[in-house]
Order: sequence, then C-alpha cells, then structure tokens
Amino acid sequence: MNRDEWKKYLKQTAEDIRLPERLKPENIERQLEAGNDRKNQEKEERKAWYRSPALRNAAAAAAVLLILFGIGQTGILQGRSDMSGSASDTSTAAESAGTADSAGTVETAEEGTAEAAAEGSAEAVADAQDTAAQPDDGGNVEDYFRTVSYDEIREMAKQAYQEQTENTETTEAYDAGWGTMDSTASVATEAAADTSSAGAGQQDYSETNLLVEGVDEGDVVKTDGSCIYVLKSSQTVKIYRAQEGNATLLATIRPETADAQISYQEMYVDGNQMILAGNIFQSQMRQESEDMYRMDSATRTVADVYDISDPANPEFLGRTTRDGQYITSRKTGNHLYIFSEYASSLETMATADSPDIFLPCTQDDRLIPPEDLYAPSDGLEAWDSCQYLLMTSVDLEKPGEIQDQKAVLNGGWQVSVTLDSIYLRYIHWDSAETRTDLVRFAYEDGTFHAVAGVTLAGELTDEYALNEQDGYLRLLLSGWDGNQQTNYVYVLNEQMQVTGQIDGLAPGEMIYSARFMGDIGYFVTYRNMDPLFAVDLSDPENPRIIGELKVTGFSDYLHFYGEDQLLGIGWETDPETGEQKGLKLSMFDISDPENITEIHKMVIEGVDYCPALNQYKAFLVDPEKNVIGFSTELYDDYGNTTADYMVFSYDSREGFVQEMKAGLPIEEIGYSTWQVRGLYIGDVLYVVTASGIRSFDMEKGFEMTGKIE
Amino acid sequence: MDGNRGKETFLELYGECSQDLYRFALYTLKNQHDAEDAVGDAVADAYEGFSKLRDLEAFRAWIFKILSVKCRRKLKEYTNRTVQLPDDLSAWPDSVEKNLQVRQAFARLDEEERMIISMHVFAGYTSREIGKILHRNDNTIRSRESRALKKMEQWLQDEEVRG
Repeated sequence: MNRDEWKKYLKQTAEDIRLPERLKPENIERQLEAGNDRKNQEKEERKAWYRSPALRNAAAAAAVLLILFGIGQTGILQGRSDMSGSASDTSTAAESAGTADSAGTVETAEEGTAEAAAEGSAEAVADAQDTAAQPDDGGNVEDYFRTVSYDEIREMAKQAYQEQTENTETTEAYDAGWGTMDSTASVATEAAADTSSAGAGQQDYSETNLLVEGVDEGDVVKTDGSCIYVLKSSQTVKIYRAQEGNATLLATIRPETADAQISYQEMYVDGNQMILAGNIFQSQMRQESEDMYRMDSATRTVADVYDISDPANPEFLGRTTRDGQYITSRKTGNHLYIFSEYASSLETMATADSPDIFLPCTQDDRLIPPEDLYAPSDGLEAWDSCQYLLMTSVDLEKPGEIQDQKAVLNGGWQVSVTLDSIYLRYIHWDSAETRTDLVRFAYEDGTFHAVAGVTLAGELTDEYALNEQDGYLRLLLSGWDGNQQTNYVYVLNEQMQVTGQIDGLAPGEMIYSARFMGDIGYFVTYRNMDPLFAVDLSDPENPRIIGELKVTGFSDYLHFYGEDQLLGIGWETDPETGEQKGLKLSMFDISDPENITEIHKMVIEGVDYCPALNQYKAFLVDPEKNVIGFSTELYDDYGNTTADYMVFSYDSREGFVQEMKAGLPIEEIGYSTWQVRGLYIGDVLYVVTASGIRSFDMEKGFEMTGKIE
Repeated sequence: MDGNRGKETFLELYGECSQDLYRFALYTLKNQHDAEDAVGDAVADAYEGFSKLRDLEAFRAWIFKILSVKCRRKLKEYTNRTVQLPDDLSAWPDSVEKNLQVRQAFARLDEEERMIISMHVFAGYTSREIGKILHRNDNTIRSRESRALKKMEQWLQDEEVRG
C-alpha cells in the first residue's frame, strides 16, 4: 500500500468513531456560553485552588456521613482527629468496608506523618479568588486539597454531574473504571535473603541516566556490572552474563499469566533484587447477587520482585498490585514507589452504590482509606475528568505488601520525584494563560504526607528544569501569557510559597533543556538562536540571570561534563530559515557563569533524528569514562531509514572525537518501542536493542567483539 | 465580535470539522478523556479569538493549529510515561474488529509519528506545514511518516499471520 492509500485507509478506520456528546456543536454552544458567564477569576481559580474548612470540622462531618457505607467509624475518626495517629487504623477501616478479608497484609506506615499536614504554615495565604490570573503564593495543602470521606466524594461528584447533565442534551457514560477484584491468590512474602550481592562486579560500569542522583528510575535495560538485564518485550526478561567482552544468556523470565495479561514497562536491578513494574489486565466474574453476575475487567499496576542472587535462577519473591495504569516509579534506599492513574467518571461516582466501584484499591480489594484520599477542597465541577493519581510504596524487604498509599483526585497529574519530595504537576488548559498546579508530598522510608500546593504560571517543558536543594524548589517554566510564549524562574520553599521569581524571560521562546549545579541553573531557550542562560539561585528571594550566551541552533539536552564544563546535545539550525542542518554537540566552559563560552562544537550531518533527545534514559553520558553514546536515524527520499549507534569522547584541546559509528539493522529497532540503550562494563561497550546485544572493545577502537540475541 | 451572528457562524464552521478535530486528537493522544479535553479547550480558545480570524476559509487550518498545540503539550506530558498497553480497549469504544486492529497498530507508534500522521490524515496539513510546526525538515517529515506506515503494515501482517 502506498502512502496515499494508507492515509485513505486510516481515515476510513476512523469512521466509526463517534463524536462525544460534549463536543457536539449544540453542546459546545452551551459550554461556550457557560464559559463566558464564568469568565471571572472565581471560576478560573475554582477549578484549582480553594480555601477549605479546617480538617477538624471535616472530621465531625465525616462521622455522620460514613454510616451509609458501613465503614468502621472508630477507625476513621481516630485517624482524623488524632493527627499523629498511627495508620493501623487504616487497615481497620479498609477491612470493615465490606470487602473480603485480605490475606495477611498489614499497613505499616509510620506515625507522625500526619503532623506535617496538620501544622503547615500559619501565615495567611493569598486568597486564590483575589489573585486574578496571577500565580498564587502557595501554602497549606488543605487550601487546595483535603482528605474526604467516601460519601463526601460521592456528593461532590453528584453535584458536579448534575451540573454537567443540565448543560447537555443527552448524557453519555464515560469510561468507568472498575475498581475491585476479588481476592486473588496470595503472594509469597519471603523476605529477600540478605546475602551480599552476587552480582557485584569489580569493574566500573554505567548506570541508568537519571533525573536526580540518588533517586533510581526504572528502565528497559539494566546492569550491575556483572550481568545485563533486558526487558525484551512486555512479557519477557532476558538476563545475560557479561564476561571477557561477551554476553551470554543466563536466564529468561516469562511471567505466569494465568487469566491475566501482563505488560511490564520498566525494571530495576539493585543488589540481589530485580523489580519488574508495569500493567496487568485482569478480568473476573463477580457475583453480585444470587443470580446476578458482573464481568469486571480492569487494568491494574503491578510490581514483581525477584531475588537474583543467582542470576541464572531468578526467584520470585512477591507481587503488589494497585488500581490504575502504570505512570512511573522510583526507588530510593530499600523502598519502591509506584505511581499509577485510576480513571473513574462523574457519572460513575455519582451513581455508584458502593465506593469500591469508583475508588481505587490496592492489593486484594483494599479500598483507599479516607485519610489517604484527597479531593479538591472546593469540590468537583461539570466535566471534571475524575482521574486519581495513586501513589503506593513497597518496603522491599516485604515485597508482597503495600506499605503506604495516597490517592489524589483530580486527574492528569505528572510526577516529579526528588530526594525528599514528590511533586504532582497538573497543567491548566482552560485559560489563555498556561498555568501549572503543583502539589508537594514529602516522603521518607515508604511513608507519604501531603504538605502544600501552589499554582504557577507556565509549564515544565523539560523534566530537568525542576530541582530541589537545601529545602528549596527551583523551577524553570515556559508558558503562554495570553500574548506570547514566555519563561519564568521560580524559587519555592517547603511550603510551596514563592520566595523569589523572574518573569518575562526570553519572550517568544521556550525552554528546551536545563540542568542545575549547586546554586546555578543553566537552561536553553530557543526560537531561532539558542541563548544558554545561567541563573544564580543562591539567594532564594532574589534569583538573578547572570549569564547569557547566544549560539546557533539549540541544545535539547544538557549534561555537566567534568570540572566547569557543560555538554549540550541538540541541533544546528540555520538562523535565517530554521532549517535543521545536523546534530550538534557543544561543550561550554562554565568556570565563570557570568561569561559562558562555547569552547568546542561538532555538527554531525547525516542525522535526522536522535531518539535519546525524547527519552533521556537512552543517553549514555559518562564524563569520568569520557564516553557519550546515543543512537541516530537518517532517512532518505524513498522512506528508507538507516540507524546507527554513535560514541564520542571529548578532549579539551581537540574537542569532540567520534569514536564509533556502528550501523544497526532497522528491523531490529524498528518495531520495538524503546529502541536502543548503550552501556559499558569495564572496557566493553554493549549496545542493546530488543533483538540482542552487540559488544565493542573500547580499548581497541570500538571493534565489535560479539553479538547475541 | 458581532454577538450572536459571530457565534452561529463559529458553530457552523466548527460543526464542519468537529469530527475530524476529535479523531485527530484521539489518534494522537490515544486517550479519550484527554482528546475530549484537548478539543474542548481548543474550541474555547478558538471562540475567544474568532474575531481576529479574517479569512473564514482558513478556519479549518487555524483551529487545527490550535488543537495541535494542545495535543503537543499533552504529548510532552506523556514522554515521561512509559508505553501504555496497546490493547487498552477503553480508548477505542464500540469498534469494528478490523478498524480496531489498525488503530492498535497506530497506537504503537511513537508520539511524533502519530502526530505527523494525524496532521496529514485528519487535519490535512502538508509535509512542509507539519515540518514548520514540529521544527523539522519536510523531508524528515515525509520519511518519518513512510517509516511509520511501514511499521504499521508489518504489525498488521504479523497480526494476520497469527490469526
């Protein structure tokens, strides 16, 4: 089929997609009118941030309403009024919520975590309603979100749903998330044997390229210096021994799927544990009454832990599941943090007759307890999307149990994690100006507690543009201010109050890349030329731009490289036409941030696309080993693609040196979604695709020494 | 804007491309909720700025541009997410089997590939126009699209063989 036939075909296949009711012109009309009426700031801010009654009052109200769902009141009230109560109440509440007794799991969240939520800052926070379309000043989380009882949340949804149905001619059921599963087989919970890591390599080796040092992230390829672990497909993991420049296959893991369909997304390898995280699709018949059955199907998020002390014989240790689709995860110390998104809808929430239908659950039908459930303090509105972000923690010494959890409604959150905090970000689309809601949870040793929230102008366009240091959050945001694209620097304290900011930076441009080193933040904006900025953040109340360097093209990725040097990888463009001329490597001297210079650059022609620029984990950048590796693609006029893996080194006198360019058969990377990863162990470079591993000798001109599937 | 007359014209023009706008968003974002939000917001923005549109003939291209900005922003949010289950059926309700397979294959493409094809198929942009919007050469756009279509073809063939 040629391209035009394809396009006709695709268009045809779209024919049976119906336009949702809400988007039909007659309903759009109502929405536009409603939008006009509510143009005042009150509506703008209502959707995001509101004052709320103190939690103390809420607790009393909750007690009365809880009767409907037969939830043990004692448990909930204790959890509420006793702010520093231990979370053993959590299990009480969950168990008496009318679901089957779960086998053996116990919530073990530490106490004292609720204190932070209760105290917060006593300073007045600017009334969100008064602050026009300006970002607000931040403050207590209760000003924005509060914990709610099941009945409260249902009432919120009912009101919003009523509003919504009054505004449309017909209503249409949104996709409902089915939240519960009957108890599935219990999971082995042997503690991981505390053996010294059998995988400890004596050689140096590369690790996953991370956002924050110390906060591990999952990836499709991992190494511990002795073995290479590859998530070949969503259902298969291959473990290879790397020895003497070669990789040999040790083991293949395929999960037992039974009646479920697993799709692993990412992997962790640390010491003697391997963790696989992803989605599992489960269908079950549920008996509703004597002769009524219901088919429940749901996508849930799963984390499986294996012992790999003997990598040739990985041993399954335990599994945790939680509702929703996998978003991302992190690992620090001995705790795993999984973030998933569970979708419900106003209609489901408003009409459900039991909370397990619309609330997220963890493990065996454990409903999220009310003290861990956050909803917008001022309720829901018509057309709200009703997605819960669910964060769960697992103590890796008890891999079959969920230690702590929090669920935050209302949807579409992005997650950033630093050493101390979890930031949830939500971009506002309903106004001409781009704004981001930011909510901060502190976390430690597997426990979460909500701290504060704020709304800021702009959005995060590069994940490296968020950085936390010494109790301050530094953010570089880009956004539309109603007239044009502009950029902002923000410094916030732990209570999410803005202590310092810069507005109106580089108008007309957008932030493409960023990196922080101590008190200096470096970032690149671009439209025709690439200014590389340096911002001094040493005074949280007074961030200052101290340096600016303009060069052609732009860097889409920044990485510190040795003492006083900053590597930029991006594109060289023609400043007049914007035409892309080639991939560009730049090395900047940042010894004096006020006078940044570009000391070397290399433009690589014959490159049309560099996948790592869209996925930072695909970069291999190791200044100590002096290796810069990534894959590239080139297209010809006939639709043919060639792919290569390229490696560069940097010499302060010679500049960039291309050490290797190895062709990769396009069939190998074409059909896999994660494409290519490069890693090194000792002096061997391994280029890994979903089809296999190629090894190259770094001491002998990167000559290829082996290949294995 | 001229009160009601402007609104009627707007709604009429919107009605003509509403289907394609939604399909564009749905194919690009693979998520029904997000697609609805994106279109809803694009329409709201377009309505606000409608008086500034001088040439009504350009309405379609103009509103698609607004929508593609919304979608691109949303896709940027997705990049830190890993790949969703390609057979996440909730994104494609009420589908005919064959069409579903094609859409599933489409969903396996990466964000930029989906964006490029959607812009061609549903928004009617040329490679050059797409190139300008995505900061790429139009040659790159054509090639990426060809490669994406080839991938889909291969996947669909594999599906058939599997039966």
